[in-house]
Amino acid sequence: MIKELAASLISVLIISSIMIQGCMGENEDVIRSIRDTYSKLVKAEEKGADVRDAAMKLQKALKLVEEAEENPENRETLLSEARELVEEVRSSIPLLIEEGEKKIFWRNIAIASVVAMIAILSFLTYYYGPRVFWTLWLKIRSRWVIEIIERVRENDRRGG
Amino acid sequence: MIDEEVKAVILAIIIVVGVFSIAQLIASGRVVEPFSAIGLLGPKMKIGDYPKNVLVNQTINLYLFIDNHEGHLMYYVIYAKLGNRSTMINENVSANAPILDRYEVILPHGENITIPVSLKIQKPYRNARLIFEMWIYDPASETLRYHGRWVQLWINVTAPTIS
Repeated sequence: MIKELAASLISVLIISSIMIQGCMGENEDVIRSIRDTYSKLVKAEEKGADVRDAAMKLQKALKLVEEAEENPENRETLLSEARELVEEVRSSIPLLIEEGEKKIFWRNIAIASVVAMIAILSFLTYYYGPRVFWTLWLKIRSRWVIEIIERVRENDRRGG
Repeated sequence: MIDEEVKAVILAIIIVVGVFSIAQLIASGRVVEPFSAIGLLGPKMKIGDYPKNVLVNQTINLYLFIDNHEGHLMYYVIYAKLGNRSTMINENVSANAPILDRYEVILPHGENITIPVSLKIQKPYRNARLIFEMWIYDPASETLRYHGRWVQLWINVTAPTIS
């Protein structure tokens, strides 16, 4: 009788520990897939991808795993929701990289254009700036009437 | 009409302005001094009103503020540890103390988050140090690495008196 009781107690303990291990293992699996997706997102960000929204989703997935640990009765629902979010982020990474590469390409074009524009403007200013300046100066003053108020003798001006 | 000296000055100004503009354009969006920040807030989500004396198994409600200015996406893991006066911790060495809880956060550059923290200490403790360490997940090595940032709170944990 005692032997049977001990055997059943041991089997209950083993089963419950296996179940707890299984639950923890499932949580750890989701955490591992979140970390794996995070690593991919970091690489995508290096290629110019805007990972803000994807990061928010991963953060939400982490939160769901945390909630799953606290609420074992809803664990399955919360974990599957977390898995869906991770999958959503994972599948969006190639598109994010593509967009990022495009963004970097157009940024480089913009930088090259600005550099070229500055060089051209510098050249134009250096060579044609003085001419433009004096032409404008003359145009602005073309209608000016000069009135000589007092005639000064040539000798006085020279201080002699 | 304009002599060579004036032309040289104009050229110098153009070069300086041009180089400055290009440098600004290339350096825009780059983080010069990357850093991460961790802060401990009281139960009212403000700096202050920190609990000093708590009972055994009493819930200690606090908030953790985490800020990412590293210039890229970060995966933070915050460990709540229970240390004491002799627990050694610095920028390079994390505390060798029992872990009470763990919080994981993914933050893009320039973002911050405030997360609620609820802890319980199960035995009386005098001059206990509630330490919150910032660790990061390193995608290259696929391991957690201590990031050298931590905050702490000194508390006394007393057993409830039975009347």
